[in-house]
Amino acid sequence: MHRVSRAPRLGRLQLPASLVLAAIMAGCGAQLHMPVQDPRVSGDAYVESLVALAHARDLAHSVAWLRLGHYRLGLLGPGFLGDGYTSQADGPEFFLSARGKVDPVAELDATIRALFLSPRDSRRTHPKETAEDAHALCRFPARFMYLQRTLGIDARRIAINSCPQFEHFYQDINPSSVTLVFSSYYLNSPASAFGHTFLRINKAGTFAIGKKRELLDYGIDFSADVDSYNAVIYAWKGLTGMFPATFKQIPYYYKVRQYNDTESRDLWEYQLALQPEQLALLVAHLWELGHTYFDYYYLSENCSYHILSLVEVVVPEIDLTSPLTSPVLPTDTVKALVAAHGLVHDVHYRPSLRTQFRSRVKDMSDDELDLVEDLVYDAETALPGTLNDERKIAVLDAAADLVDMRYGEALVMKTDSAAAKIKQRLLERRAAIQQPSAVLDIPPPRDKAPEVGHGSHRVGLGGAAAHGMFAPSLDIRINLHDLADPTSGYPELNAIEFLHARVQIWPDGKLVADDLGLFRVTSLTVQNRFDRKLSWKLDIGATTLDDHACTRCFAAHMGGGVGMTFAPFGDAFAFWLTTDANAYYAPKLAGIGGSGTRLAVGPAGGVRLRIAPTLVTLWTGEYMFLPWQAPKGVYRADAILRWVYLNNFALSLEARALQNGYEGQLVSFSYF
Amino acid sequence: MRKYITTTLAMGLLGAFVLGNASIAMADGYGTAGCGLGSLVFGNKPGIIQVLAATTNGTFGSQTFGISTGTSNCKDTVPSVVSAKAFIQANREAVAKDIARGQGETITNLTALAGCTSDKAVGSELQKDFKQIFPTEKVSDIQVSDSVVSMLQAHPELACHTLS
Repeated sequence: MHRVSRAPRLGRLQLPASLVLAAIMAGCGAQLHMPVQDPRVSGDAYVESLVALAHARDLAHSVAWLRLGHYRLGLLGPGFLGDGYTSQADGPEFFLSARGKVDPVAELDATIRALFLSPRDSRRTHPKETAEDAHALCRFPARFMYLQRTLGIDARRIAINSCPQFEHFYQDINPSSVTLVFSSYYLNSPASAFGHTFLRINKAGTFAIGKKRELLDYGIDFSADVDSYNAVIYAWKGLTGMFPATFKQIPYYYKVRQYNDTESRDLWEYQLALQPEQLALLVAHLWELGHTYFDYYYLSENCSYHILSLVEVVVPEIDLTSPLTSPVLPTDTVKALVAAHGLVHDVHYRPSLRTQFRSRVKDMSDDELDLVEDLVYDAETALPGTLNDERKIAVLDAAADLVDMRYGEALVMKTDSAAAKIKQRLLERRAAIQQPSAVLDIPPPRDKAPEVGHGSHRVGLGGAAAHGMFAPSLDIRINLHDLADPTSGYPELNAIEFLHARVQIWPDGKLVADDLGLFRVTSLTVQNRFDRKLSWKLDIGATTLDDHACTRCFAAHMGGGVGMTFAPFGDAFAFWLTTDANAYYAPKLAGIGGSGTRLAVGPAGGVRLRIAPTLVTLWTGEYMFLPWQAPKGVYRADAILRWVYLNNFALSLEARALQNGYEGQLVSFSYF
Repeated sequence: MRKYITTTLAMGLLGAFVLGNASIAMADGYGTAGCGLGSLVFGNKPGIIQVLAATTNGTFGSQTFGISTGTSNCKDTVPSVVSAKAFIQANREAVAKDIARGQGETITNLTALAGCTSDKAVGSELQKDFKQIFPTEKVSDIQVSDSVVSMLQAHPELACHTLS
C-alpha cells in the first residue's frame, strides 16, 4: 500500500505576495503581524523576494514543511489560531517565530529571514554555543536543506560558512543507512510489555575491518525525562503529557546489552531504503529535534510515535503517522513502516541471550545437558574424556550463557561473587581449549516477526445465551492479545490486554456490562531444567459474578496469581497451575461482614492447545475459597475455541460455568 | 449504569496506581526502557546506562546522551584508545565470554575500534591471554580494559593502528 498524502489546502486569508512585500518595504511589516521577538524583517530585497516566493508557492503548507515543524492540524480546524496548525514540539527553542508553535507561515518567514542574519544577531540557546553554532543555519540545517532545494537559495549570501558543532555531530554519526529496531514484548515489566522501537544510524565504513560492527553504530531513542518517583504522580504525568521527552543518542552496544542480554528480548531490525540526501536530511533534522523537547504522552505521543515522525520527515510522499490511532503501539509503527511500499528493504533478527542459549542446547544429548546444568553449580565438574574438544566447547559455552541468563544482572552490578567465580572458572576452562567457537546460526523465526501479527485492536459482534434467554453482545478491545488469539507475530504463551469491554443487551432491555478489563497480563513461562521462571498473571477490571452471594452482578475486580507452566510436548500444548488471590466489590454483593467486598483465594489453572496456527482452544478454571464469607467457596470455568477463518477475522465459541448457571457465546472478531 | 461508571473510574485510578508502582519497582534495577510508561527514563537513572556508569568508575558518569549542543559527549564509537577502553568496560561481561571463546561480536567490534586488521587474529590472541586479562573474577572493568589494550599493543602483527 502506497499512501500518498496531500498538503491540506486551506481557504485562509492571505495577502497577495506583492502586497506583503510592499508593506514590508514600507517598514511596517513587523508591526503589522509579527511579534517583537521575530527576526527583523530584512531590508534586503533578495531575502524578501525569497519570502514572497515561498508565499506564492504556499511552501508553509507543503507536507515537507509541516513535517519539519511537526505541525498537526488542530482539533478546531482551519482558521483558528494560525490556520489550525499546532506543532507537537514543545520547546520554545524549536521556533524562530514567536508564533511558530501555531503558525507554520510565520515560522517559515522567520526561518528564511534568520538564515540571512549576521551571526552577531543569533540568539544563543546554550552557553557553550559559539555565535556560528547559534545561527539559524546551524540550528536548523534540515530546514535550510529543504528551503535551498525548493527556493534555490544562493548560499553565498549567507553570512556563515561553517557549523562546528553540527558538523562534529554529523561526522560522529557518519551515516550510511538507518534501521528501525523493534525490541520485543517484555511482559516481566508491565511498562514495556508492548515492546519498544528506536532507530539505529549505521555508520559508513570507516573502519579497517570489512565486517559488520553494528555495536558501534548509534541508537536514537525518544524517551521522557522523569522527575517523580511517586507512583500516582508518575502515572498521571505520563498519561497527561507532563513529562518532557527528548531524543537521545546512545551507542548501540548499550541497547544490545540491555535488551538482548539483561532483558533477554529478541530484536527485529528493519533497514530503511533511503537515498543519501534523505539520510542527510534525517540526521540534520535529528539535530534540530535534539535541541528541543516534546511533552510525552504514554498513549499517543510516545517513543514509537516520534521515532516515526522523525522518519516521516524524509519521506514526504508517505503518510506514516496519520493512520495511527491512540494508543500508538510499537508494533503499529513497525506495521506502518513495512506497509509503506519499498521503505523497508532488509529485515534482520538479533536473537536474545535466551534464544542463543536455546539454540546451543537444542541438539545436545541428555548427558551433555546434565553437564551444562552441573557446571552452573560446580564449575569444576569434570568433562568426560569421551567428549571431543568440539563438544566440550559446546557444553562450556552453553554453561557460560546459562550463568549470564540467571545471574547477568548481578554480574554487571557485581553483587554476586559466587556467580562471578563460577563464570570466571567456566571461561578459564573454555579459553584453555584454544579454538574459536563455531558461529551460532539462528534462523529468524519469521512467523514471530511483529509485522505478521494480527491487528492490535479488536472488535467483536455476537450473541450470548444464558438462563434460557438470548442477548446480542458487543466486544471491544483496544489492545492487544489474549491466549486464544492467533499466535503469529506474538509470543506463544503471553497475553496482554488493555481496555477490554464486553456488553450484552438482554430481552428485558437491560444493557449489561459482562466484562471489563482495564489491564490484564498473563505471562506463562514453561518450566524446564534450565528455565525455572514462575508464571504469573494480573487482572484489573470488573467482571460478572453469579453465585449465592450475588446473582448476576457486575463487580470491580483486582486479582493475580503465581504458579508454574508445563509444556512437555512443545509449545503447542501447555497447562498451568497458579495460586490466585482476588478482591471484588459490588454494592449488592454479600461480602465480608455484610460489606460489598469479597476476598477470595484459591487454586486456578488452564490448558491451552494450539491445534493449528489458526485454531486454538483454551480452558481455564478456578476454585476460590471465601474466608469468613458465604458461600464458603465459588468456582468459575471458561472454555474457548477460536478459529481464524481469514487473516484478521476469527470466530470464537465460548462457554462459562458459574455457581448459578451456564452461559454460552458465539462471537465474530475482527482485528485491525 | 452510573454505578458502573463510578466503579470503572475507581478501578481506573487503582489500575494507574498499580501500573505506576510496577514501573517504579522495575526502575530500581534495569529495564526502564520500553515503550509507554516504561520508556520514561527516571531522572538521572536511565537503567543499565547508569548501572554501567557506576561500575566503570565514572568513565560514563559525567556523560549524558542528549543530542543538543554542549551535552553530546557521547563519542565512544570513533576509533581511539579511549573509545576502545570505554567499549570494553561497558561490555565487560560479553567481552569476557567472547575472549574465552576466541570469537564473537564484541571481538569484531573491538577489532574495528582498535583499527586492527583481523578479528580472527585478535580473537585467537586474546583467547591465549585470557588468564592474564582475567586473573580472577575480582579484576575491575578498568583493569580489564587496560590489559586488553596493552595486549593488543604488544602484538605488532595484529596491526592495531588506532592503539599505536
